[in-house]
Amino acid sequence: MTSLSICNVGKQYHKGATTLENINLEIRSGEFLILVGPSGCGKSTLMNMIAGLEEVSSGQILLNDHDITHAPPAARDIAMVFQSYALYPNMSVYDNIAFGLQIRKWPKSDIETEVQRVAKMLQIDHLLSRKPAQLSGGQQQRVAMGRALARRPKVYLFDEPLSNLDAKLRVEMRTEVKKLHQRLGTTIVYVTHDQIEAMTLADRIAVMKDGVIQQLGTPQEIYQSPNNLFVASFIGSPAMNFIPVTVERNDQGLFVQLSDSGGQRLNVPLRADLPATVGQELILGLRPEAITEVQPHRLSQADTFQGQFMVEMTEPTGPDTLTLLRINQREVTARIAPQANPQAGHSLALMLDASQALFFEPSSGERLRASPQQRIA
Amino acid sequence: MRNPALHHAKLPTVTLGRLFIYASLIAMAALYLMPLWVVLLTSFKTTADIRTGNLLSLPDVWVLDGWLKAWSSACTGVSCNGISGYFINSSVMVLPAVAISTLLGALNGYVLSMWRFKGSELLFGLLLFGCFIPFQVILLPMAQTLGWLGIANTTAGLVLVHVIYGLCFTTLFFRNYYQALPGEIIKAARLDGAGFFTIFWRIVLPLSRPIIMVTVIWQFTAIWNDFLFGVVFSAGDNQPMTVALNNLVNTTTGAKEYNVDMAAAVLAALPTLLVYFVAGKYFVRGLTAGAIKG
Repeated sequence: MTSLSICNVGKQYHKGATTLENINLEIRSGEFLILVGPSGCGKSTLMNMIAGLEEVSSGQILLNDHDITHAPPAARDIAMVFQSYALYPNMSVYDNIAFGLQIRKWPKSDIETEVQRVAKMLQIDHLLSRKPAQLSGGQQQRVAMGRALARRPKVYLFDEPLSNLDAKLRVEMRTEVKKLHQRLGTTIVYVTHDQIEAMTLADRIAVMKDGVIQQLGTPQEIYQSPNNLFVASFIGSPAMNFIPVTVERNDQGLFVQLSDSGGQRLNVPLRADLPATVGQELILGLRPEAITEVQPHRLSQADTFQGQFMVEMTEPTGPDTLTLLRINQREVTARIAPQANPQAGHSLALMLDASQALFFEPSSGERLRASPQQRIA
Repeated sequence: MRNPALHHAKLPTVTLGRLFIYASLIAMAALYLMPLWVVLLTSFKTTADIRTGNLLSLPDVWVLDGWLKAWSSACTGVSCNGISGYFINSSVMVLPAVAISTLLGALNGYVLSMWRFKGSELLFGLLLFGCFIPFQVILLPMAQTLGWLGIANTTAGLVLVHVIYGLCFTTLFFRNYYQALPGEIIKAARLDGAGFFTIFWRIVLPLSRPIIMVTVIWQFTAIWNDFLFGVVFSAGDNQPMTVALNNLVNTTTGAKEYNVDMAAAVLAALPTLLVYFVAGKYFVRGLTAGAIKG
């Protein structure tokens, strides 16, 4: 059983810049946790601090309840896979994998067995005598993972391990990493800036920005109920649509108005438990898949609206055609079945599923929630 | 490329411009080789031949008298045992001086690029400054220091002087070379459990071959050819080759034996030439490799 606790960890550099503030994370045994965020958000700094490669300015890091905050990297029993793979260029693949074991003074025969085991598992057993320079990117990636696996550490750290691979190989290795995790049940902390990698691999995702964790939750939670505008826009591809609206009231309660290309008004009601007032400016967030071709059987559902929209551009992706149109004069992306045959310059009847609409406070960027406010972070 | 051009290139076209270029190149090469030519020819001549003949003419008879005398019986000051002993002096001094300064330079460079500490950049700046200190400036303080250490006028003292003076250069070479090594390799090794020296011996040093070659050539040439430190910080039988050569040329008993002087000069230059022939290709390669990556 391995659990990793990060308590109130902060990082300040000498020049006074604060990179990380009060980071709190509980990583459970066998959990696959992904730190995701744009570059410069502090995710790599956090990972380096877990590895012991950077000093922790404040707070504590506990591994199985042992304080490792200031322990040297070698004493932590943590392995890391680097973006550049960081293979030792002067050593063969065998020695690259064996190096950590040699340092730990394993008996020669045990090393041999372990290297063979790991190499077989990663299908690199035919490459053991090669030098890293003689390997392809994907093979180097496997050796880097083998080096981490051979030591059987308590925690694995992955620092953007797939970023240097080409698109096809990246998807393959992504599947492989997930399979490996399911098979071995290891505790993994994984840094990436790729939100698709985060969604597909993680048990839980921590979305970071400017040294602060914006939200921590399962991929579904992060996707369906983002805490704020940043998380909503960062996770999901194509990104969520944001439409500025003003709160109004009618005899059924609070609502906001959307208008289609013909000027027809669609009144989207606000749930009664949302803390909004008449005249308040809000931002309505709607995922592209909430704007679709008309599905007659769903029209009768509550909060489903139909309107006519002028198609400005289409991007066929195969299963869907991403379609650019305007709602309230704002450019919006819709995800439409190719059978509906959207064509640029033509008007198209579309359906809005407003039950998926989220509302954000424009100045703070926070999502409007049913009071009392609960925060998962 | 179009066909006519290809065809054109195959023909040996001797234009006036091309002729001029080759002529200039040959003239320049000849100019630079002239001294070596004179030195070599003169060393194989007899003294009579030198007096009567032309500077550039071939020897009437090829003799090794000059070489033999330079090596074993020419007078350097009061003793007349040739320069062989000094050749050995220089070797005994140069080998440890080169080895120690190269190794320490590698270690310094490793620390200054991979294990930064507060003030490490300042330290490197100061070390760099050492490259610009002229030899003459450190003569007196160094003489005093060697006296305190009790190794004045010994080979060990001379080795120390060369190590200290060379450290600025060797550190600069290694530091800049290591700057281009990916830092993640060091991080990976630390996570693998390797310590400071294990990383140095097992990972960093094996990757340093090109820059070791550059440094060894640089240091070997500088130390072997050094005259000033040799003449100031050594005495008598401990003097290096360069000082002995000077003494040999300046010791005149009767007629001047140019053939002996020339042979001794070639002997003195031989080791550095050898090092260039053996490792010269690494020199350019190592320097440019650092330049491109850094």
